[in-house]
Amino acid sequence: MSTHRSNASGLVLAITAGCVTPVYPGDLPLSDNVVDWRDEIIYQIVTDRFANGDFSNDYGANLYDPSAYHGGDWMGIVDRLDYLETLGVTALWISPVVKNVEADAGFASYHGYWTQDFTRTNPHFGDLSALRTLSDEAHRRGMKMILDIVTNHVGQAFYYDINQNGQPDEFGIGQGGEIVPLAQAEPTSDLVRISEWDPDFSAAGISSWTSLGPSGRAPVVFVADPEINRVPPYPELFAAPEAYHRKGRVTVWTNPAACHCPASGCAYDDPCRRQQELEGDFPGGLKDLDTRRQDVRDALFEIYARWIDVGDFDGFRIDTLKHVEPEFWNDFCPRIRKHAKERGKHNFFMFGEAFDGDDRLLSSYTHGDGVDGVFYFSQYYDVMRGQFSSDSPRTCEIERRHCNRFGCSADPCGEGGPIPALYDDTPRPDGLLGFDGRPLSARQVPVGFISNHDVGRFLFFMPTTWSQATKRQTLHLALTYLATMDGIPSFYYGVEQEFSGGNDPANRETLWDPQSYDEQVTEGGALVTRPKRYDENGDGSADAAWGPYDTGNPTFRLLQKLIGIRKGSAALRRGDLKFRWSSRAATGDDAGILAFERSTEAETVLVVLNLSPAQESHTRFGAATMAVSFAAGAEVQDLLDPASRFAVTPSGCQTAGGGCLDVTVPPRQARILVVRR
Amino acid sequence: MTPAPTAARPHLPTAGLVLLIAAAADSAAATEAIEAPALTTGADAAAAPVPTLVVGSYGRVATGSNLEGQNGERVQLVDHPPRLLEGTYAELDVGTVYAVPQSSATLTSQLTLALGERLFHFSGEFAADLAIRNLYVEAADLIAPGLSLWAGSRMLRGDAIYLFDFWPLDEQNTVGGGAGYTFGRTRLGLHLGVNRLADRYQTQVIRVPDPVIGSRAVLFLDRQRSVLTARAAHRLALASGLTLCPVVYAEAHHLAAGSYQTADHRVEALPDDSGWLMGTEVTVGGVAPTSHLSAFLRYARGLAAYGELGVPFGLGTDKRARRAKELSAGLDGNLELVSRLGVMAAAHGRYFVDADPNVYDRDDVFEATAAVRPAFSIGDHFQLAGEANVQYQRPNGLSPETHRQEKPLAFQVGLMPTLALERGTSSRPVLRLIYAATFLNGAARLTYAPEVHQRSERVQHYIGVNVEWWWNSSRYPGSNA
Repeated sequence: MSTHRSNASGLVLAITAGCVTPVYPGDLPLSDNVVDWRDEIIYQIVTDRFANGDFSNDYGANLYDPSAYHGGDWMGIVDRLDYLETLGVTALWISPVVKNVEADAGFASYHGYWTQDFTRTNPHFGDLSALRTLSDEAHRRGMKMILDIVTNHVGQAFYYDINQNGQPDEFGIGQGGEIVPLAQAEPTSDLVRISEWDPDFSAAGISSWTSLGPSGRAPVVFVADPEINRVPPYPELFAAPEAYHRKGRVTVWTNPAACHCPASGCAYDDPCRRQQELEGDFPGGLKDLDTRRQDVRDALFEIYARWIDVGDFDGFRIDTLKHVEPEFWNDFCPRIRKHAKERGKHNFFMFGEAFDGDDRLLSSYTHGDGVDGVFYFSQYYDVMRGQFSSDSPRTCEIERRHCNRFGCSADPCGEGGPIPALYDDTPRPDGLLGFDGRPLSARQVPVGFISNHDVGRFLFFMPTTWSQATKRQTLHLALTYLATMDGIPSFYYGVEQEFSGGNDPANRETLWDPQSYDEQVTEGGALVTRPKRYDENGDGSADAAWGPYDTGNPTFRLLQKLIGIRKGSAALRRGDLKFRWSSRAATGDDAGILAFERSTEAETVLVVLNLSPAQESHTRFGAATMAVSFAAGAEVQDLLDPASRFAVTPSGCQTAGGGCLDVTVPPRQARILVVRR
Repeated sequence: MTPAPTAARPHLPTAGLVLLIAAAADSAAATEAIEAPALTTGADAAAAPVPTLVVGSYGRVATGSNLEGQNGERVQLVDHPPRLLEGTYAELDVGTVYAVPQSSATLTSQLTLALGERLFHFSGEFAADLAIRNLYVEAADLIAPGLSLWAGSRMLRGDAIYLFDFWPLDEQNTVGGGAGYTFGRTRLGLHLGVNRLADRYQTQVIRVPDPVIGSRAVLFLDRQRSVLTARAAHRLALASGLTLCPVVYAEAHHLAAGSYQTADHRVEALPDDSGWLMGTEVTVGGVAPTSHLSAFLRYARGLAAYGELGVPFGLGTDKRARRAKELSAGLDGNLELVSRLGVMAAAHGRYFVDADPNVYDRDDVFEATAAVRPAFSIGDHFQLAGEANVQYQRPNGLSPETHRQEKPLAFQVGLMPTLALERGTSSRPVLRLIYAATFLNGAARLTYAPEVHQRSERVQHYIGVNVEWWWNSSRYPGSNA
């Protein structure tokens, strides 16, 4: 018997030799990875669409349905870290990681914003071990991890039983006439369509409605449909009606009349609009948490503090910032900062998404004790969409946009007086630190972008009359602007592959699907679909076929180069921003010219962009040339085209301590100039 | 393992499997076939071979309670758990044996019908789950002495671990054909079979436009899995009556490429796939009548790691199962040294890794189980038996509920007063009264959904009755001798 026992023991050892002991990631030490967030280059990943590294979690995936899960996951990102490292990005912003309601109205929750259980991972993306593997592997390569979080709402978890028949209905009440929102319907007899999943906002709360009229607050019914994981939210606190505002869906954006605003829309601070935004369900029936309640705040803090611990995250991108009252952020953010510091993370970054082009709204979140920075939507609308995609750009508008941040003594467009700084320059207590240990203010760290998952791709919004070459030039110009501007640049996955999808979900292309790289062309009179091609060796022929994770195409190479330039220049990363030239008209010597300097004590970089689609322009107007910090007599060289050099002259401009510079820039081109040594 | 057949019928292939298992046995020994009346077909019957109808059966019926008014259920943590509490199942074997005149050769047609769990008297549903487990013809000694050939649908099985109802080395449910060759104390077996499982991995029927009007169904995904098995067994007679029977066994699997149509009518390519398995078994017998000790070891890769009826899961990014592996080892013994006491014991360990690249994967698992069942005979027809068993599982991944590596463990003890035909652990039929208590750790309870009562029960009780029989059965060939 002893022989057998011995053999058996050996066998067991042999069998168990391959076993793996997964550790609860929350028990692992965290890493302090960030020196200065201004050094970082963010790459935004829609996890489901970036890379599929594990087929075993492709539950219900359908690559060809834009509204379905496609199969991307955290292991896929791990598999493609080489690709990202080649591009040069340094921080990965990934989709929300929590378990979602699987589907609603035919759409799947592949984006991750329809939370059902705040404590579990989205099984389509992987488990905690896979998440931590991604985080560890990214950190090993010097990349930081940013988690997308949602505190405003949960997924489509309940319905309002307005007619009290115990089932979710869509029905009409009233008779005939114009369809009007529920909030206005009561005194009329117009026909009103009501979806009990997603009724229109009512400031008093969604009320029941029977054939005899109103009948009190509508009961809220949580649904139990395990097939699509539409089950009561977790933690349990969120499975109680009292945890929600229960006032129905925000309507004011599409129906300003609901707040008695003009058709052009309500002011950003209109009280009625703000009440809807703060208390209303997000369109799509995403139920609005009552974040005024301290127990809800506590729960959300506990939830996301834990995600820092288990995922070793270095920052949060905060969804729907403007839909949660500022008092919440003043409670949440300091506690998160404190927790992160206690866990050894001394530069935990929180930037928020207020989907709005109004700097007054965005800047309001830079005051108080809330987020460290904002997602720079005002720049997106006014600069990227407003100027870069314009046939007749006025670059003074770009400069003016930044005046809202820093303040200007005069309007760059000459249309008004001084512009006050809207963005707060007061660092947060215990907030971000720069490389030199000095605190950073929200004004210094806006997260800029030319596209993201909520808006169409940058290429999509260009005039259809533009040629492909012009579109590509414009894309390159915008990328150059973003890579050289202050703040933190964020590049949305696929921009390096020239994806051009329209609004959600078309802007969430599958990076690994060859069909994402197809184009339709006319050949012999017939419309055919074929892989896109590009000129790889520079001989003017389209000699290379475009395919998944291509690293040879012109846009990948340009972005790679720009990132390299930014990484190599402390001035571009951390330097002060000073505008040197902007044009007020779409014609003239300087049409489309925008020039700005980024400077540290040791280094100055001059960036000159020509947004004009048609003409070669100069940094001069008439006899007046551009004043620069470079000393007269210096020769500056273009980092994008080293053969292009310009001499700094002592005359032609009014300058204090520097020289004058007349730079010529072809249409839709840019120069990044440094003193030639 | 079923007790080694002490007697096999010459020229009367036992319904389950002479081809492989009986190879290890002494084929010269004889058993008494249960012969039904000979079938004749007409006036010239005298000139024709006389067929003999051979019937057999395996079956068990069980019912019990958890002492709280609910059905008693088996706790299952591992792939092949102890069978102390098992469900209802039955097989009916019907064989027709044609003896070739003036020859030792035979031709045998074999049908085995299997009935599943559903009992009309329990559910009130007038229905049954029925499956064909054997439907083949075998020719023995027809071409050459010792050579048998067969074709049809067949359960190919080697030696079982009875306490787990499990064939740890070689079990194939196949449609195909094979050959066996016995020379001296050696038996060789070779088989090639195919299947096309009714799942979207191998089969898809779609509707297409009919050339005239309307639509018609066509088989769009149609890819077979081919399985080739080979087995060699040798029986050695050692000193003092001991016998030693080593077995080597191998499988090769291949799955053809195919295409699948998605819901939006796109075509998804499914690549071909493959797998293989190597294994060995050593059985020592002759310590005492009906006593033996067997050890099993096998290693499988790719498709073979999932079993021939398994649908691969956790595929690699190439949509193949090639990275999957399984290492499995088992022990089985039955000792009846004294006439009143018999002890059955078994153990099995298995380490399985699926084909996906996820290292921390809950599908990747080490699991082990062990059981011991002593039976003490009081008189010729009453036995007091008991069983203690344990199940353990160690997944490589974290629990999605607790985010920890949970290691389910269940320990079970049972008492079985038993009425049997005669003494001995393998005597059948038996009638058992069973009481069992199963102790579960927290991780084992987590395997139950929060909505069910077992989630909160540290101890599960069971009391019930169980009957089991086999007789001339293809399931345990020769065991009713």
